[in-house]
Amino acid sequence: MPKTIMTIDDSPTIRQMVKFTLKITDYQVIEAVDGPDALAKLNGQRIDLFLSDINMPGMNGFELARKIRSMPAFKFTPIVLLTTESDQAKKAEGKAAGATGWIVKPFSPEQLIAVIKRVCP
Amino acid sequence: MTNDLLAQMRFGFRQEARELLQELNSVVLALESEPDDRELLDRAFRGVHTLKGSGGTAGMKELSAFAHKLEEIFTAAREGKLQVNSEITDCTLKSLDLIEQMVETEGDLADRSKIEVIEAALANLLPNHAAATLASSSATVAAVEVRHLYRILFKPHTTIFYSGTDPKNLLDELFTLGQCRLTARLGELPALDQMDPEKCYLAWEIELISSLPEEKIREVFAFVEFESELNISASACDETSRFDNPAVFTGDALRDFFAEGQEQLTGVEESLLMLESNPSAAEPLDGLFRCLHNLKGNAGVLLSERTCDLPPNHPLFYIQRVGHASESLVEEMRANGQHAIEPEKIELLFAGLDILKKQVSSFDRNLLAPVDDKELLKRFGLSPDLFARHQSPAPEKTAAAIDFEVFSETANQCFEVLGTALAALAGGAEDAPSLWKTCSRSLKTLIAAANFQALGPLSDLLRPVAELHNKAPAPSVDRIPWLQTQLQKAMEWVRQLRPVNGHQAIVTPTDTCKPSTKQSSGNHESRAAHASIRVDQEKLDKLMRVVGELLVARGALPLLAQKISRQDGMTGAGQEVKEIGGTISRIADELQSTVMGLRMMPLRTVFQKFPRMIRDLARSMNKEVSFQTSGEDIEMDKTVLEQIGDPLMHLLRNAVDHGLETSDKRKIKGKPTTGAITLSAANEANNVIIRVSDDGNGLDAELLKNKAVTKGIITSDQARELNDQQAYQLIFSAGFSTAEKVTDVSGRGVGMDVVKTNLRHLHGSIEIDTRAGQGTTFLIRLPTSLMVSQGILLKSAGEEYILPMDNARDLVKIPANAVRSFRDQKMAHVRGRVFPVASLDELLDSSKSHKSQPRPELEFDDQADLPVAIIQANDFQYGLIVDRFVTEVEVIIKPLSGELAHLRMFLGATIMGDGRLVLVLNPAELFQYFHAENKKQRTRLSETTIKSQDLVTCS
Repeated sequence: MPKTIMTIDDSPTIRQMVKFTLKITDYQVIEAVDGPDALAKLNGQRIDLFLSDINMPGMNGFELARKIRSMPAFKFTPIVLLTTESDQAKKAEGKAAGATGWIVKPFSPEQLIAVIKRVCP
Repeated sequence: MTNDLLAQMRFGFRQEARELLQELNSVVLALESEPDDRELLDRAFRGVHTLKGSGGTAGMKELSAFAHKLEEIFTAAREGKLQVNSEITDCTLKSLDLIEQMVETEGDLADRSKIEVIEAALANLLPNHAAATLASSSATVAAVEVRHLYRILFKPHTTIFYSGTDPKNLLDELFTLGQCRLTARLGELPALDQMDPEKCYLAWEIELISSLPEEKIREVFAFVEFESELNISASACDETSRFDNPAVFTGDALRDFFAEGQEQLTGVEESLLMLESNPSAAEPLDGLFRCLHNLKGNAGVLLSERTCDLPPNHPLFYIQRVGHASESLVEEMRANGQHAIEPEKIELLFAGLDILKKQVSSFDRNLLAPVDDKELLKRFGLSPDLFARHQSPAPEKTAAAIDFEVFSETANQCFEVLGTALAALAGGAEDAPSLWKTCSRSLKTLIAAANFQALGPLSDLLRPVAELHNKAPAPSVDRIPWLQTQLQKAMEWVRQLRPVNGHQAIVTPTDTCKPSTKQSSGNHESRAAHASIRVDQEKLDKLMRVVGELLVARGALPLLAQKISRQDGMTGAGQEVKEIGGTISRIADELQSTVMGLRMMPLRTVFQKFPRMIRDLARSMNKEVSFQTSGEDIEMDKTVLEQIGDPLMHLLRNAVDHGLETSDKRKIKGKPTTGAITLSAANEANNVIIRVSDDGNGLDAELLKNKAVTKGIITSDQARELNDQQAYQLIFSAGFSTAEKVTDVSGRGVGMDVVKTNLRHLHGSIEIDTRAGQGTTFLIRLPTSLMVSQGILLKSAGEEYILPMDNARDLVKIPANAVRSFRDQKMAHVRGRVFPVASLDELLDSSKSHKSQPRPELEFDDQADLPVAIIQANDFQYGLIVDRFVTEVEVIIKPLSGELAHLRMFLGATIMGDGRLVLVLNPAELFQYFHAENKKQRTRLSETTIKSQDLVTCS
């Protein structure tokens, strides 16, 4: 059964790229344009991994991560954040919010797959 | 899993690469004759380029790098800087072969030097092969070659699961980076009732041999570095280093260990025997060392996985320790040269081998079989208490303690080897280089062990010593005293050590970085073994029985065809049935030979246990024996093989004990003091002939007869009647023994009669050929298979019988008047030879009319021709007169059971195609009756006479 990944990003280009890369690697992809959209789309869905941007209008990635992590269904589900800054402070903040890992933008499809494979083989 | 993706990509790549390579091969060949063909050049370039790209994507960096070198050739050719000639073609084709190898082995090339050679050749072909190109190419090669042994301690925070991380994924990823071996630390695992299932209590120690830099290894843990304890230390290691096995202690691992263990034990045994007969040969020593080392190593690998679960007297511990001790002994022999090979040491190694054998087999059967000979363990320098102590439950005596013991054992052994070697060196031993090599090996082991135990001070102490050793070719002798003091210090240091507390699992330090000479072939074997499947023998037997029934059942078809044509007058239909019958017949034959092939195994499996037995026997009797075997490759049915072992063992024992004289007696007789015993097998028609020969004293017919008379086996009258051959057969009588005194080997009179009985069960026969003073040969004739045999259906006095084809030498018709009586013995002249003859009817006394009264001598009608079967049974030939030969049939002989089992004149019964039951004659036994009949000592056969109809209800 293919794994389902939810990608949350306000940039259609990033979503497109993520979707394309993951599709060819046999993942199911659900797209969400921002945090509220993501939460709305959860709706009892089984999600194997969340891939979320940090800087988004409305609800940022950390908040979203906290919300997702607090749901019993996603207690252990990997959450990977897309970030432009690679400083330790941001990473620590992400970790504190319950994120599993991060990908620093810009990234290549190979890098994306490598990270995803690591947390959700 | 990441491996899955990689595996998928590799799989895809392999498909693609095969096609590409095929195309490239033909393009390159075409290019040779059309070097300027632009189109071909482009195709070649594109092909190689794709290989490079896809290979890289599939993670095969080496292949990709190599393809790049090849690509350069075609780039140059396309740019007109290079003209394709036969030299380039040659080199290109070789490169393609190499790429193919890399593709098929997933880049796991055993011989990396090959790549370098071809790369260099390719670089040479380039027009401007500047030194720089070469340098860079070798630099790449070197970069690939550097390997590190990483020791990683990974202890995730207990809450790691809440960050969405599954540590297992990370560990799995490590396994994709190189050879990985992993030990879980269970120290913080709480009792079950205190355990929070959402928390992680485990930590892992990982050893990883990888060519990747440390950053790459760290990257795996990038997301968890915050909340985990992570400690990575790297040390350079030998480019050929490998773990024995990325062992997971599964059923497969056990099976592989056992299968390999058997081979190694056989290897040890063979080498020991060779060594004993030729102590100066280096080869057996090397073989011995290799086998012991691998055995010990494999046990160590399994142990490293499961120490905590295993009871302390588990066979693996014995295998490892006794294996190790034996290995050290061999190592010492190797180091000290010929003079170190003393008979006692070989004896000790044999004793060790026995322990190993026993333990390997108990391991296989999941048994614990403690070594009861404490003395023996002591002679190996192993403390018997070591095992005893563990047997009392001592929970604090944990893995760490065992670990420590293994370490100190290893260390002490290393010190010992070093000490001896250094002393020999100081004394100006001849083979200094090999002694130095021994030293350096021991040192390496010691340092590896110290590192593993995290005994930093010890490895610090030893490192300068090792560095000295690394100086080629050998350090000067005047450094020896310094070395000795250094070692002394190290020894003291080790002596003061106490086991550390904690939960470290055991890993045999010796094996962490050992070169993998045997390993690759070992893997190969196990891979090959996977291509075969194990089948329950019962299933095979059933298949064989069914095939047997089929063969017999098809016999009904020709009869049916006849019936249809004749009785029903449908010639056409009859013909068709006959044809179809022919086809089925052919298929059945093929099926039969295939199934029989499945059951065939080489005699080697039986023969190989004898050299050791003979050797031990000879020693216990103070005889010198050379033992030769041949024909081990001949295959026989497994059932036969299983039952032939005992008879052969008795014959061989007998040959050593009774056959061969003592060395002194042999000397007096002018024979070589070493007696020769040979065991050979050969194929003969449907039979296998096994010969057991000795060059001993031979059998004395008169002596045998006297003995038999005194033992009451025969009467003195009977003795007089026996010819020599019959007298020889006396040794097979139960309770017969010629030995003057009973030894613990033979002479109790059991044994040889077992030979005869077993052989009879196997439908085999035994002949004796002996020459006084020159030796005895036992000739065993066995059918290759028991299941289906050919027979001749015949009629006698209205009853049908089957005569086994193997015994029928000839079927003839002779005129009745050709049978003459000579001293109550009917004789007939057949094809220029005279045979004793008798009528089967008479022998079986199956004629109903004469059942209750002595029957008159059979009178033959002078005019009639008599069908006679010339029978070969054992050494005797005789004629059997019957009423009629009916046809040739295939039969499965089923032994008679119950009440009927004692009817020796029948081998058994068989069911014919139409369901009739027919008795199968046993010509060898018939002869006994035949004999009795003509001597007028007729037993009342009629009491045992049965008819086949009676049998139907019995079987």
